[in-house]
Amino acid sequence: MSDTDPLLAWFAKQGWQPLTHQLEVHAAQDAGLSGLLIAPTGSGKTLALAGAWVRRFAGRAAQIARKRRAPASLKCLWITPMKALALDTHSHLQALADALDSGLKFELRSGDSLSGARGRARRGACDGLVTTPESLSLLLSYPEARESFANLELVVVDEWHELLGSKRGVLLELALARLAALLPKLQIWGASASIGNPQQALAVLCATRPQARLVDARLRRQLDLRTLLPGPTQRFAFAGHLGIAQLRQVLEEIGKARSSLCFVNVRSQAELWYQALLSVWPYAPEELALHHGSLSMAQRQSVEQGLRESRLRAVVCTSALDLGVDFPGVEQVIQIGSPRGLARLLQRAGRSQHRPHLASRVVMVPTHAFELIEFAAMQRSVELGEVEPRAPLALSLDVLIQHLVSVAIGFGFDADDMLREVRSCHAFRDLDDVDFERCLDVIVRGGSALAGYADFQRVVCVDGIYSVQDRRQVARHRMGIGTITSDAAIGVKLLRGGKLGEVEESFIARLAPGTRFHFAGRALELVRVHDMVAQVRIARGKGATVVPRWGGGSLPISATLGAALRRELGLAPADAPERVAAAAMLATQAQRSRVPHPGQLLIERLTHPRRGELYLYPFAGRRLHEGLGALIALRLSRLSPLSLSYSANDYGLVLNSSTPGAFANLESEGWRALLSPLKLDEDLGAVANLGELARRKFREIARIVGFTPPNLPGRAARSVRYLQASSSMLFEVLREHDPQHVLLQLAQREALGAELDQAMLGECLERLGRQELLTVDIDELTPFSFPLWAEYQRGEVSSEDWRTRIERAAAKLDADCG
Amino acid sequence: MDKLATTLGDGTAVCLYGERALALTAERCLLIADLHLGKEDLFRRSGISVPQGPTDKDLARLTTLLALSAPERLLVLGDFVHGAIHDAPWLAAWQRWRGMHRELAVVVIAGNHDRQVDAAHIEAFDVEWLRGDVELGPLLLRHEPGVDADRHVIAGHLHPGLRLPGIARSLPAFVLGRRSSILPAFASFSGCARVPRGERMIVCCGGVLVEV
Repeated sequence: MSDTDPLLAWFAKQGWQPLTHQLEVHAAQDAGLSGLLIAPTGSGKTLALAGAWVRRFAGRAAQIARKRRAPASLKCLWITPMKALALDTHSHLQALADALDSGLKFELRSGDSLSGARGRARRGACDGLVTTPESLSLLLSYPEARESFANLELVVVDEWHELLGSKRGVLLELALARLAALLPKLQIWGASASIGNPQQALAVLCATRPQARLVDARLRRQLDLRTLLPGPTQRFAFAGHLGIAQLRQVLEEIGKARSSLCFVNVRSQAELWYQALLSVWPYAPEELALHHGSLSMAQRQSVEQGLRESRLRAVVCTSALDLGVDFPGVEQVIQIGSPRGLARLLQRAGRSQHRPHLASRVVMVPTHAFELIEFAAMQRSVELGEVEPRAPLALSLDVLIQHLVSVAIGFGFDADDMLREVRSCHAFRDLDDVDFERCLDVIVRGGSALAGYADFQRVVCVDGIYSVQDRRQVARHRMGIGTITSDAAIGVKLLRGGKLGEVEESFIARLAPGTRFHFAGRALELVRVHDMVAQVRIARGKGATVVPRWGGGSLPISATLGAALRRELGLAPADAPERVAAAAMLATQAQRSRVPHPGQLLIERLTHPRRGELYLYPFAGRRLHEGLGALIALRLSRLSPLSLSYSANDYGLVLNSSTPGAFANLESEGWRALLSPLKLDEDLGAVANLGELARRKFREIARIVGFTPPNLPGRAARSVRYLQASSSMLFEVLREHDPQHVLLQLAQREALGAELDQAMLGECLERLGRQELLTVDIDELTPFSFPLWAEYQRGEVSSEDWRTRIERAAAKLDADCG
Repeated sequence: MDKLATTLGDGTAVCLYGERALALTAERCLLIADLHLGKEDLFRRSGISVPQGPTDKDLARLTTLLALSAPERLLVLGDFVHGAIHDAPWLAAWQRWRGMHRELAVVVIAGNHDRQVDAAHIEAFDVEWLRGDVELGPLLLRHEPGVDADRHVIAGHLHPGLRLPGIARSLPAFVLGRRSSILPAFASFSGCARVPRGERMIVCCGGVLVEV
């Protein structure tokens, strides 16, 4: 590096020292390599990843201005997983480009962009483009993509850890493979927060780029992590997740800092907390704001702008603000309820004191008693530097099908070349010829050869080139790209005025006109729903309101956190303040039952006169517990014809039988058999056949492959209305008339793998097999069992007679559907 | 298949069948609603892979119902077809079925999905085609639900359904009210709309009838 290095000169002018990892990435990029940077947010990632590339153009502004007659050509793609991030990144990149006098012009393209920007993005008429994985896929579906991407030099994937392990990540892998096949010298870089499997993250991102470099910044931010303890007189709820009881104390904490972000786990909780805080807010009302993914772009941007300008004292927000937007004014993060994982906690912590070398301040607010222990466990994990790995997905054939149709629309493809290209992705390296053929079958013939699909048409194969001829289908497919994550969304719009945001269709469907609900921090009244837009007016006067319940919501705790929790329970009550606060709860637990050590599995048996309940506490997260519940119920029902139901939370599961003595005879031998990892695959297969898991999975699959038309606000034309079919209907039809359909098998595999976590369930059973069984007969609910009992009651129906009839109907249904 | 003899809001004796049909005992009439013939075909033509099969299954269900209730007339309360009519396998299947039941009178009351049906189609279907409200004995039959000053109304159109605990999807149901009744959709490839509770509801599930 010479003294005249314009980038370093600019650094110096700002009074900054380039950090080691920044220089390392710059050197690797200059050497033409690809790679992945592991660094926490706020550690100068953007400068690390874009600096060297922009430097190549430094000082060329005048030269370029003279030549501007010729349109710019796209040279750099910057991919961010979230819209909230794109705007900020764009301005950072443009600022860097301007500071180095490079003359480079960056554009922004996402679902929210205006059509002018979209057109320029499509033609590649800019030097750099900030976009999302879905928008990249969409760009690749235009025939002009080949020309507009011809001069591409660098792709940067920001927040790669967010994409890794999701179908959006798989979609991006496929798009990158497409670009890599077109452009042999393309450099692919990524940035990721700390994850448990950095080498694998690199291998997935740079599957097509040999010799890719891993640059680990090894920066551990200082973290000031504190739990907001309940007052001495406050009794803690054993269940619940809202935490409103802590309102006063949270307000006090807000008062201690200039600016706070209050993270909650789901959007409905954000609306509730915003309302609650507002009702006791002693400051100027405009200093409190609400931010979540359902609000309109304009509203989100105005909140983000307010944060940037330090105008806001507190913002109640969800994971939509998790990602790397830079708000230097934020002094603390208040986490309401468990963040359910260490990576998410660290990510959110990074939102405060967003500067390297400064400590992040996090106040954790427990919403029920058990979270005290969870927080204590997190404290310990953070000290030990533990963080979750992100397992990449493999063989997501639904995403492959969407990609194949996109490419057929844009470029057209040859099957052999395509298979080679697809296999260059990490996700599809084990794709066999048969499955690839079956995917082609779905888009060309409709389904498996055995079933009839007369007059099917989507993709046609002419002279060995697959393409789409029907223009309506081209339009429909493009509308569907990008609907991987979002459920059907309905726009919320004021009768006279602007759009407020979007809610899930299922929520609006439950409301009658005239119903009041809270959205975007206001009390609204539904007027009518028309063409996928809910028209509302501001509600006047007082009246009961509903808070939207959005889908997706609460994630289960991570396996890493589960392990930390088991460890924490096993430790002697230390002097950690959380443990002191939780002492009473644990004492009650010990008195009525037992508190398990890490080497023990606690099983509580409660016998009522009219039913039996069995509580197990593996502490492995709700999803694994659901899988365990299904497995145990199946195995028990083989021993004797019991009707069983189960429900689960993050800490354990409950099995419920209407036969009082159902669980009385189970002794340790019986337990070992029920919890055996032997024949797990087979039994889970049976569970998936019986249960609704595959059907649930098929919903997402149907949306991704374009079987259920996307419900985009304002765009659900009358012309596609006759194609409205629920995924459940399609699932039934396929299961009955084309049981060999590749997407049904995918749904089943995903139900086993993703939904039931087959591999992790196997590990969990191995672990339980090594644990000592603590079987305790209890005669009243314990602090551990109470939340499960409450969970179970929610879905309970009162009349026994009614149950019998329903069970008969359900049994018949199961028998018919095989 | 379950069979349930009951009375409507006005006292008319009827018989409900688990495969989503209602028989008017006195009139020797079998009523179904929302057959949606050709629906799969339209999906396939739009690139959504729905196999042939539901139509054949529905016609087989209808054959079974005829055997059980031995009606003189079959009345379809609207949405006989799903949309545009092509020369597709379902049409041949319907004509085959019609040929096997020549002695049966088939009457269709046009529904909102039947807009594209013209005289040539009606001839090809070999059915009697009516529009609007149709009086039958003490009853008024129509496609879209409504009430009438004098007569109990039987309609379709809504695809009424009900969600039961422990079953993840809605199940089709008869809605029997004081002044009007609504039939579940007959088509097996069709969804359900949740309707407000409060009326008598009888859920159909794999041929089983469960009164809720």
